Parts: sequence; structure tokens; C-alpha cells
Amino acid sequence: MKRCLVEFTKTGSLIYLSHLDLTRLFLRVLRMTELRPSYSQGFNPHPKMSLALPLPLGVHSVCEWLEFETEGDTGDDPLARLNARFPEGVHATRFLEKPAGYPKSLASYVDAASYEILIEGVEDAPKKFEEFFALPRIPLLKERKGRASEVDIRPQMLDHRIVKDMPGRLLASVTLSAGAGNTLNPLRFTEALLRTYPDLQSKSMEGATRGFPKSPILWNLPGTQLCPKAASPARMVTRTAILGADGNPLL
Amino acid sequence: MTREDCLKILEAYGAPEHVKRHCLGVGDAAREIGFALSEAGFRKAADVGGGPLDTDVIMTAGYLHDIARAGKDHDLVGAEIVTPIDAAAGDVVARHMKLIFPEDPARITEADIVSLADRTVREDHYVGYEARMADLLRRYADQPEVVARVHKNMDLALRLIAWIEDFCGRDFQQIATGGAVRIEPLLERVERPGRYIGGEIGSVRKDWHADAVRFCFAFPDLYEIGMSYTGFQILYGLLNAQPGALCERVFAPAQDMEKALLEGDAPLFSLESRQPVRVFDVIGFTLQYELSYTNVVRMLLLARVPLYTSMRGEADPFVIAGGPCCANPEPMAPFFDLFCVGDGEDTLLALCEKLRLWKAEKAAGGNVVRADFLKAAAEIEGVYVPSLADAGKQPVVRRAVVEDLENAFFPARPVVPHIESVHDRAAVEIMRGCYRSCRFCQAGFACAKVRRRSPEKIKALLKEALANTGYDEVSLLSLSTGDYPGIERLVTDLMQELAPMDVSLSLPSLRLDSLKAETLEKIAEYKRTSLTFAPEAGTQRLRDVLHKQITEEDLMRVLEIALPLGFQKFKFYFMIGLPTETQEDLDGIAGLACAAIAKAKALGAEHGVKYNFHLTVSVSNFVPKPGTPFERERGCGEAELLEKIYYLKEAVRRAKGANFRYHDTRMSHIEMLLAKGDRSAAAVIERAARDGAGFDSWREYFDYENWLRAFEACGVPAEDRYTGLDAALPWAFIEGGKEYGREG
Repeated sequence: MKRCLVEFTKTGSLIYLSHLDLTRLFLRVLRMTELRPSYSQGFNPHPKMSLALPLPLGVHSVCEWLEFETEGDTGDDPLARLNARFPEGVHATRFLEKPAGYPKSLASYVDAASYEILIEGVEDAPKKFEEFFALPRIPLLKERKGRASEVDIRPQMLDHRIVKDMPGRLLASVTLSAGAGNTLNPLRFTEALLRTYPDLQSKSMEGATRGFPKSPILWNLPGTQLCPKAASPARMVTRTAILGADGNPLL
Repeated sequence: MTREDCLKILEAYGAPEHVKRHCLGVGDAAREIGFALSEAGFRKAADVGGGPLDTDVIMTAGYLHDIARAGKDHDLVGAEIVTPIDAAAGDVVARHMKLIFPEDPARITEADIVSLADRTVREDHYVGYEARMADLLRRYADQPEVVARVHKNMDLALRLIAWIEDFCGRDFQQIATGGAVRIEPLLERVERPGRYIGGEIGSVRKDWHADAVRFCFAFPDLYEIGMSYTGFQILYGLLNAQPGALCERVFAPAQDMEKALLEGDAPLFSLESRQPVRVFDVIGFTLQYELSYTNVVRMLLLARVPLYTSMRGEADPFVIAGGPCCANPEPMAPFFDLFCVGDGEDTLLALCEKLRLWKAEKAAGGNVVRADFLKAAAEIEGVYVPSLADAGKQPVVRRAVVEDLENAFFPARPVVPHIESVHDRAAVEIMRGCYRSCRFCQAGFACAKVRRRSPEKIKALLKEALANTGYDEVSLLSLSTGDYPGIERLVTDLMQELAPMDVSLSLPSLRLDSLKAETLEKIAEYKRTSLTFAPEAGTQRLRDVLHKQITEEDLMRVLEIALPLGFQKFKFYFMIGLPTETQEDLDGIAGLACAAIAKAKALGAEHGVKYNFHLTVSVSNFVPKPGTPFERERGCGEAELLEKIYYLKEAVRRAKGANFRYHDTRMSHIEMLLAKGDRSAAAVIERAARDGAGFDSWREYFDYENWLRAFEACGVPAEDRYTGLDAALPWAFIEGGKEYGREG
């Protein structure tokens, strides 16, 4: 039995693939490349594979980790074999056998994650960004099972840094707590930031399509609701590191 | 260098993610501009080389222009990397930062096109020249020499853009994006965006600019429904295997995406190249069930294709249909330029060939119009062109039949859906046609002739599909898998071969009455969930009328074998509203349920155990279908069906121990009206769709009152008007069905 780790990036259109669908994609690619994961025993066997930390829909990443157990030999150049099968948008960057002494599951070892966030719109974004981190409390509504409650996300905002300050655009890095029951979704973070400073905004909605004749149709769409994330800057959030309990990136 | 080759080079060099994305975005834009100019007939000036633009150089340079961006002097370092691959492209990379556009726009070269693309693409998407220059001026506000160069180039660039627009006769954004729809802003607003992104394992993206017939396969229901349909996998694979054809996909957008498209003023797009559906040569819908008709209307409206054949002009695509509903094309006839009746494989290839010739003649300046292609197409077997049909004088349209299934195309690399679908498994069609002739069954009569694949072929196809998909389940498809000669042997062999690969076998359409005990034992080894049985009617008399060759003894025999094997859940399927049906037949349904429950008890007593026996009686409403011996039977009204359901519900409740499930009678009523409709139904379908109907087969969206209002508004009676031997059936010219009488 071998315990294997794959580091990979998730970009392009595939950022719109959910955690569950990505897991299914991995299962298939592993089976196609003769890296078949072991299955658990029992009435409802499931493959022994997991991702270190789920990535929210719409967020890019350059540092995802998958771990799985396999009975067979991993063969020649598993990295190249995987990449030959992945669809565009997922690209494996490292393949290794899990070092001895490393925690049993990566997921249980994860403590935080870093993200790069691109903020656009106003000239004094850096100042506002710093001010935001100086706030003692940042309440955000949380809905669970139909009941809304207020949570303070400030304790989950661990670190921040300005990566690049360009006129009108700011590239910032934030480290947010992650892992067992204490994960701050980066999109919830940006939601709080944009709620506090409504003039900071995403430009991702610009220029959808022009040059087509105006739609000639009008019909009822009873009860259809669009997701309220129309102004979310999701396209510009990239996960850059998953940090373990020692505060360092995994492996 | 192809896009894929360049991506591999970028990855091998270790270019960061955002650089890769930008390179691909610029390369795509440069390529589109290059192609647009070439297509419009552009030739380089003699003193800059003459001849057509070299799109290879444009692509290689575009896709690799920032390969060394992470370091210093990235233009020069990049050129050193690219030059050994393509010297001309290396030269473009070396100059891309400091290039000044030519004073005379007609003297542009490959380098200018790459630079222009670079100056209109931010990150990986087109934003336009002005937006990018604003970026640059802000970023380099403290470097006067850069600002001066930007300013100097700006006039020249804007003049160049205006000249290109003029030369190609199109808006520059349209040119640089290749007309593709930018879907990211839409994706951010909808549930399950994975439905719309394409790029799955097994999906094919052919070169949009290749000389090919562009075919858009349209499925009028959600992605996860359409992707489970094997007929699509066959036709998609078949068309893309032809050098002269390109096939992409579109599914009905869910209601939230529909709203996002309307609000974003974006047209319906294909999954592969995200081109508006209306720029394809052909949009081919599959009509699998009548309750998807309103989705066809909504998709055409979203695609901004004129809804009616009579409204389409020379620049519009041909809108065609295939699938089982073509047994009566009339209700949808005004929307479709032509129908493919019967098996689609040969018909589509023949159509593509005729379309290729028609396009070539048109491109060569020939005096050809849409009607010329339709006339040529009407000669193909299985093709029905409504606009050429002379009322009452339409000759019989014969169904196309693929005679040799063994050697017919079957995809070895099926598309693996991105999101969980109805059937996530590798499937092989083992048999087409049906040995039975159940008189209500449209599918059975549509392809009555039985054709099979050999066990060797089936195994080979499955093996290949598994290697190319990574699926852990396979399925054998046909109308009645249990009737495949040698099915026991095939199932046993397959289970043996698949088990070590952790692959399980699923057998839909398995008729339990035809199965041997050993096969049931094999199935029991890995699946003990539920067994289904379809007697369809409650008495032997009515089963004989249906030609349904199942007896009560068959059913009891299966219980005798299955219960000791550990099966607990059983489903019995019945229909109500059948021809000649009486009260006695309805009572017979409850009677069969009672008999099965008693049998389970008796078997338990005999074996000294108490079997867990869960029985579900599932009742659907009979809809007389064109092309079957029952096509002249009267379809029941809604109230009539409902009365029968209530009676039966009470009878089954008294039987104690059986669950009762039934199909929505209102849906069945509309299904019947559409199945047996004539041309007047088209207006009703359009009215209903415009008033909100869509996804009618989904209970949560089906709106019966809206349908009734649409019938009334169009002056069409909401009842079956084609019953009895004297009725002139609107679909009489489609081969099949009508020659069978009730006794035949």
C-alpha cells in the first residue's frame, strides 16, 4: 500500500467545477492512469482519496493537494501520465509518496490558507485595506438552516500584506484560518470587505457581450432567482498556499 | 505550433499561472484577428514580405510572447526560447514590447497583430485597446519615455483598428474574440456553472476556422439529462470523426442561466468554442419527449434564430430535428427546416456532405439559396422537409435504418460529464430494435428490425470506453436487454472480467420473465437493491391486447427465485387508460399486488423465515403514440385519468402492504395533445413557451393552467381529434405504424 500526494493547480474554466465534481474527476483520472485508489471495506465501499482543503467555487488555486492510497505500483512518471489525462484547467505540478512521519491526513493538518485578491476601482484601496484589518470586530451575517446569526470573522483573519500597489488596482495577500470547523471562505472575506467599503469593487462584470441585437423576447420566469453574488470579485481570488499547523506551506 | 503545444511549452518552462492565462488569451485574440484578415482576403505589402499572413507564426508568437515574463528583459529572454522553435515567431517576441505600429495600416505584419492583441487583452480576456492603454498610463505614470511611446502608438493603433474593422466589415471586439461569448460574468450568477463550461474528458474542440460544416447538437433539457443520452454520444463522436465536420453542444440553460443571458444581453452559446449557436451552419435538436418542445422554442429565442422556418434568411442556420418524436413531426414542423426520421447516423453524414457542397458552391459565388440545399436534402432517405411538403401530397417518408450495427460507429471516447448526471457510466448499445411488439411502444415500432452487436465487439467497446473514461460502472443498452440471445453468458463473462477492476454492471430494461435463475444469482452478488417488473395491465385479457407477453406465473416464479437470494424491493409497472380497459382490469392491478404479497408470505412460511418484501405499484397514464398500432386510439382526458387513479389508489390501499405511485395526469394529458397534434399545435407551443412554459417534464415547472390558456388563446381544442379508422392522421406520411390494425 502506498500513500501518494499530488500537488496541482486549478484555473481557467475549471474554477467553476465544484469540490464534489472535482473529486469525481480525480477518481476517474486516477483510474484511467492505472493509479487506482484503494477502496474502503464495508457495505458501501468508497475510494480512499481526499483533497486537503475544499476550494470554493470560482476561486483559482496554484497549490491544491490531493492524497490517495493505492495498492499497485505507481509506475513510470505518474506526473506526466496524470497531466496527459487532465482536462485543461487542472495541472499536476508534483507527485510524491507521503513522507514517513507526516500526519495521517492532510486535511486534519491544515490550519490556514493564503489568497491573493485583486481589488479594483478606487485610488486609496491600500489605505482602506489596512483600515479594514485594524477593525477590532467584523460582524457578518451567517445563515444556517434558515436561521441567520451574526458571526465575527475578524479572529479568522490571520495575516495580510500588500503585494503590489498599482494606481487604481491593488493586489493584496491575506491569510485566513482554514481546516476542521474553522474555515473562513475567501469569498466571505471579500464580501465583508466590499460591504464595509462599497466603493471598492470588482470589474469582473464588465463587457459581457456587446454587438448583438437587443433581445426581442420577454417572458415570465416565475420564481427565478439569480445568485446574489453578482458583484463578487471571485475571478480575482487565487489561493496561493495551504498552511499546516506549523505555519508553513504543506510539504 | 498548436495551442496545446504552446501550453505544454509554457508549462515545461514553469511560467506562472497568470502568465500562462495571459499568453493564451493574447494568442487566441491574435489568431482570431489573423484569421479574420486572411478570410477577408488580406495580403501583406510587397516590401514587408508579401503573401498572406502566416497564422502559424502569429499563434506561436502570441501563445509564447510572455513566456519569460517572470524575469527581467522578458522580451529578449523569451525570444531566445522561441527562436529555436520558430525563428519568425522569436523575432515577433523580441519586438513585442517596443513595437511601433506602421503609419500605413495596409503594411501590417504578423508582429503588429500580436502586439495589437497584447494591447487589447487584460489577463486572459479582451477588454479593448482604450482600457489597456489606461492601465499602462497609470502603471508607468512616472516613466516619461514609456508614456511618450504609448501616446505615439495610440493614434497609430486606433487608426489600425479602424482600418481592420473596415477591411473585415466587423466590429473589432467581434474580430478579436472570434465572436465568442464571454461567459464568466454569466457563470458567476448561476447555480451549478459546471453545466456550461465544456472541456470535459472526451470532449472535442475542433479548429473553428477549419473548412468544415459547423454542427451544433442541441438537447432541449438540462446538461445532466442530455449528457446521459447515448444517442448524443454516438452522433457527437461520429460527426467529429469526419474531417469535413465539426460538432459542438448546447443544452437547455436552467432558468437562472436563461435569466442571466437575457439580463447580460448574451446569446445562447455552444459549450466548446462558446460561439453563439446561431453562427453554426446547422442546429440539430433531438426530440426525445413531447414535454421538451417548449424548451426548443425557448432555446431558439435565446439563440436569436428566427423561430419559424418561413422567417429564416440566407444568413441563418438550418434548424433540424431527429429522435423518436419525429414519428409525428407536424406539431413542430413550422420550427424545423427538416426532420431526420429513423436512425440518425447515415442521414446526418449524407446531410453534412450535401451541405458541404452547397456551402462550397455558395462560397464560389454560385447563385444558390437555402431552398436549394433543402431540395437536395429531401432526396436523402429518412429526411422530411416540411416547407416542400404539398398539403396532402407528401410522399411517404421512409425511416432510415442502420443495417449493420456490428460495424456501425460507436464512440470509444465518450464525453464524461463534469457534473453528476442521471447515468454516470460507460454504456454500449448491444441491440437496436425489439423482438417484442408491445402495441403501445413507440420505440419498439420505430425500429422494429432487430440488429445486434456481437459479444466480442461489446466487450472490446466497453474495455476501450473504460480506459478512456475511468468510469466504475458499465451498462448494456437496448430496448429489452433480456432478449439479447446469449445474455446470460454475456452478463456472466462481463461480471467476471469487470470485478477485478472494481467496475460494476448495470442492466436497465431487463425483463425478469426472460431471465434464468443463475443470472439473477449473479446480479444478487453485487446488487440487491430492487427489481422491477412491467406487467403493464392487471388482467391477462388486457395484457394479450397489449401483446405484453407476461403472465402472473412468470411474476410468481421470479419471486420464488429472488426472495431467497435476498432481494427485498420490488416494483411493478402498470398503465391505465388503455384501449378496451374496464373496471375489471383496474381491479386486476390491485389483485396482482395482493397475490404478490400473499406469495411472499407463503414463501416465508415454506422456508421458515419472514422475508422483507417491499412492493411499489407504479402507475403511468397511457398515451397513444403515432407510429404504433394504437395511434388511432383515443387519448383520455385529464378528469378521466384522474378518476381511474383515485379508484386504483383506494384499491391498492386496501391490498395493504404496497406503496402506490402514479404519474401526473395533467402532464400526460398535455403529452398526449402534443404527441397526436397537427400543425396547429405549433402556435400553442409557442404561446405556452412565451407565457412561461419550459421544462414541462419537471413537476416543479409544469403549469397545466398555462397550457390550457395557450390552447384556448390559439383556438385549438384541448382534446384528441384523431381517433377511429376514418380519421386522416396528420402524420400518415411517416412510414410505420399505420399498416397495423388492432388485430394485426
